[in-house]
Formats: sequence, C-alpha cells, structure tokens
Amino acid sequence: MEQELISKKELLDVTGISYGQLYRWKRKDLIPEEWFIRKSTFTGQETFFPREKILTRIEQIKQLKDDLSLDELARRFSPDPAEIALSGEEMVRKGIVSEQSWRVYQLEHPNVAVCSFQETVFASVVHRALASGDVGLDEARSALRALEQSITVFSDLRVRIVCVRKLGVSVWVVQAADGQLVVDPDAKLVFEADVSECIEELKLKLM
Amino acid sequence: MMGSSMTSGGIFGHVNVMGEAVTTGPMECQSLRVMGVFQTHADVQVGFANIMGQMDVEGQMRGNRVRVMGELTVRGDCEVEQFVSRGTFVIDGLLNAGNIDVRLYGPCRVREIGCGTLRVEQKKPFFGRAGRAEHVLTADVIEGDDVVLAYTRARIVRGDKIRIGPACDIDIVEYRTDCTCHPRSRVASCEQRGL
Repeated sequence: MEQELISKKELLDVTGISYGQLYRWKRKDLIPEEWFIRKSTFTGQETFFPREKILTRIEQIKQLKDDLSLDELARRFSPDPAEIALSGEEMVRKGIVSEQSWRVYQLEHPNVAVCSFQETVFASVVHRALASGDVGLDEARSALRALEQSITVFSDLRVRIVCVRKLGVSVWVVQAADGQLVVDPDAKLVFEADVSECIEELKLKLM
Repeated sequence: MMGSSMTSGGIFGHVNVMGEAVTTGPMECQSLRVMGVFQTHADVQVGFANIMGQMDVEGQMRGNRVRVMGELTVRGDCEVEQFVSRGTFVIDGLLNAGNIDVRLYGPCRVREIGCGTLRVEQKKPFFGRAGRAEHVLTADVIEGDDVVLAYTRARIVRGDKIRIGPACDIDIVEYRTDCTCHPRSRVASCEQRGL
C-alpha cells in the first residue's frame, strides 16, 4: 500500500512545531513508532511520515493539549482498550453505530445487552462497513465473525480488515496493520478498514 | 543483586547491581543503580537510572532520568526525559530526550539525537589534565530546539538555536533563528531555513 509521505523538515514547516515538541510527543507515545519511516535520500538517511495521518494527529494534539495532559492524550490515541461498557442504545445515541448496524450485531449475538470495549470496536467496524454502502448485511455479519476469530491470532487490535469479492462471492481477510496484501486482478477490493483507526475515532466519540 | 546473578526480568521497585547481573526478559523498575556490570537482553524501563559501572541494553531503554557516570551501551533507542552523562555512551538508535547534558569523559557515539535542549562540553581539567583528542561525541543527525555543541562530529545538525563551540566537525548546519560558530570548528555549510 503506497501512501504519500512527508519529510520531517517539511512537517515542521507546515505545522510550525519544533523538534523538541515532536520528540516529546514521540516519547509520550502520542506519535506511534511505526510512523517514523527511515529512507535514504541523497543527503543520507532521512525520516518520513505518512502525510495524512501525521498531519491530522498533530492538529488533534495541538487542539487538545491545552485541556488535557500529555499522558491523557496518549491514552486516548493508543489502540489499547479502554474500560467501558455500553448498551446498544447508548452506542446508537453516541453515533458509534447506526440502528441498522446494531441490529446486524444483535443477529449475531442475540443475548448481548452491554458491550465491552472490544465488542464496541467490532460493532463500530461493522457499522463502518455498512455505512460505506459497498457491503451487504450478510457480508457485514461475516465480517463480525472474521474479526472475532482473529482475536485469537492477533494479540492486540492493530489489524486491518479487508473485504474481497470475486464473481459475487465475498471473503473477509483480517491482517496485521502493516502487512501487504495483493489480490487477484479479477477480484475487487470492496472494503477496507484500519481497526486502530476505528478505535481512535471511537475514543474521540466516547470522551 | 550482588555477586553474579541472572533474572528473567519483571517489575521491581529498586534495583541495585553490585557485581554482575544479566536479565533475559523485559524489566521495569522505579530506580536502578549499577555499580558493576549489568547486561539486559531485552527492553528496560526505568524511573531513575544511575549508571556508575557498565550497562549494556540489547533492546530499547525508556525512562525518566538517566545519569551515566560509567559506560552505557544501548542497541535500540533510548527515550528519556533527562539524560546526563559524565562518562561514555554508545547508542545505536535514537537518543530521544527532553534535556541532554553531556560532559565528555571518553568517546561517545549516537546514531541520531532528537531533543529539546542539548549541551555538550569537554570535561573539566583535573590537575591540568585536559580531555584528550579522542574524547568526542559522534552522531549522524542531531536535531533539537536549543543545541550547544563542543568536540562534536556530526553530519547534520538541525535546530532552532544552535551554538557551535570549539573543535567541532560538522557537514551541514540548518538553523531557524540563531547560529554562532567557534573559529576553531569546521562547518562545511550553514544555512537558515523555514521561519
């Protein structure tokens, strides 16, 4: 997956932050290690960042840092689970899931009334898939199953979920976030979502 | 830990190494004092570390305050709030700290430094014995807001305010507001950029 990169120098010019701030935020885990991409250029090794991600993150930090401590910010940005329990109605009210997607979730888990953090994340991924308009109801259900299967394999939620469709048959793939994926040229990549991004969004909605 | 010992890591309050110690797993502690030789084969997280002997970290080192009076070697990155050195250190990754204060008592080497303030000085003469020529700090890239260097060899130095003291050898200096250069230093190119 090619993404547009931004060099460290350019980043500082664009955002107006200093080296000290950038490195302090890195130390506090506000900027994940994986975003520091080292590449060789004609002036030697330089550090690059994924452009979109780092720019939105720095905007968020700049906005929030006056109200919250850096540690609190770090907790908000990290994909580690928060301790929450939400009922279906609450999730709908907070805009985490739509009523439709909550019904899909309930089809799979008829007895669930209150969701843990992980279940909330999965529900929000299902919601995202449905909201994209490219995924059908049954497919969204199998996405949920795929995600729930995957937690036995991956230790944390730094994963990506992808839906591939060929000749009308769809398959869900859950992969490590930095993993590469190549699909058959006849097949179509219908939907993809970064679970850690969903978590970030979710946490912003919650707090 | 006294004498020769080995641990698989874990979470501790206060760790005192007098003798020889090896850890095989990740370790976390509030304070660490090394008087002998301490080898860690995994990541270390410390509140305050005082290294008077020798410490080798195979993984990453993170913490609040690190004070090196002896020798420190880190294979990965070293991320601390305050880094004070009165000895020598080798860091193969990034040294990321809020404040770095280095007095050169021997050759120091870092691949990359990223910091708020950085201060490098030659050691104070003791009975007229000044520091020797090989007591220099070598780094590939140094980036910081407020950088004061002496006896430093670097490829690139970038920052807001940069002061280059004696006996430095730097290829490129890029500064934002202010840069002064000692006449006994070599700086190949010095340019102001980006305000």
